Amino acid sequence: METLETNGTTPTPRLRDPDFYAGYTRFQIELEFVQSLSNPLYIQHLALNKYLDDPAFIAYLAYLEYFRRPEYLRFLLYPGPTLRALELLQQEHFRKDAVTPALIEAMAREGFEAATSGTTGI
Amino acid sequence: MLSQFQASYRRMDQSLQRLTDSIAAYNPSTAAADELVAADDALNEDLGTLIQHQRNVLRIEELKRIAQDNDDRIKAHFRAVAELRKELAAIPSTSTSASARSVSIDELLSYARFISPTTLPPTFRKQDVPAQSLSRTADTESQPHIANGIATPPPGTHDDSQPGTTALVNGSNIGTRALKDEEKAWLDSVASLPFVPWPEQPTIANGALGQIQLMLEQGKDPATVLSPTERAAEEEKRKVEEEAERAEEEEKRRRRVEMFDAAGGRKRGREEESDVFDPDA
Repeated sequence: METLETNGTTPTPRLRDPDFYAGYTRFQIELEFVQSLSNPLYIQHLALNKYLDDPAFIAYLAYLEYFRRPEYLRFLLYPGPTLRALELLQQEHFRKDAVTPALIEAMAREGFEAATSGTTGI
Repeated sequence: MLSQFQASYRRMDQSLQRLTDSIAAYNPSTAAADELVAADDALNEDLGTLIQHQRNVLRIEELKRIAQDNDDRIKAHFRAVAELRKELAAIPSTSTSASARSVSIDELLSYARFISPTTLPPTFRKQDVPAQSLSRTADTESQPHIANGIATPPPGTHDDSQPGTTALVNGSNIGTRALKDEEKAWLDSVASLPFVPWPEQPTIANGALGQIQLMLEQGKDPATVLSPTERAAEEEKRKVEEEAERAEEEEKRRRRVEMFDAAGGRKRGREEESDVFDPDA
């Protein structure tokens, strides 16, 4: 009778838990990532490293649109710039132009002006 | 009112009578004529009062009518409002998008508090921020920054008192350093903003993604970090193993004790040979 070998066999590969990675939940990681997109310099970093040309990455950006929903929106600490950056990143021509410093600075300016709109001197 | 009228009528009548009597007696008295005129005036006044009175009565009635109309209108309005409210309540709840729009005040306030650390501080003075330009000087404390010749001449930075530093141009180095200056300028221009509504690079680096990157750089595989459920499973396994070990230990000890007793107090050193066949035992 064949006995089951308990020693010396390779252990069954543990399927990676898709919702947990490196001590953080998937939601934590996605929340952090989507909010770091609000920093134009980070977008430039992604563009320079050719992430914005990867179709899988582009699809992931489209998936991240779920943060617009109210039940997820409430977790954003930087809602305005995050959603604006997300919206821009969905557009192809923005992704192509994201490497240019002028565009990045314009984006930074726009974010700054939007955040400070309504404040005058004094 | 009526009596007043009757009195003035009578007076009129009397004076008229007196006058006609005096005329019939061939003794026209002017007094009587004056009396008549006065009586006539009095009568006219009374008539005027009567007219006023009648007008007042009519006005009162008209006002009463208007008041009644208004009352009726109000009642009708209330009835309509009540019915509309009933209808509104009777409408079955609409799609989720409509309900998702409404936010309670508490939620709103708590979210505002949540966002406030990352929002503009109230002490912000916008006029201190320099005007827009592609390249401009950012460092006020450090050495004079070289302005890019093609850009518009920039104004001062946070301090309004430093306009002079921006105008310096070092002619000999512009050609070779132009590109770096431009880059440095736009880097600085973003960094020189007194407040930015997004996480800065150090914040990002200290976050989850930053930690993962650190782990990868250190060679640790982030996938080996166990999730809480997996950790719990591991704990269970370990506990079971430990229990099994302990049980084994107990068994061994018990066996040793038995052997000890069975051997009638033999030295402990002979324990190891307890499993060897001993015909005398």
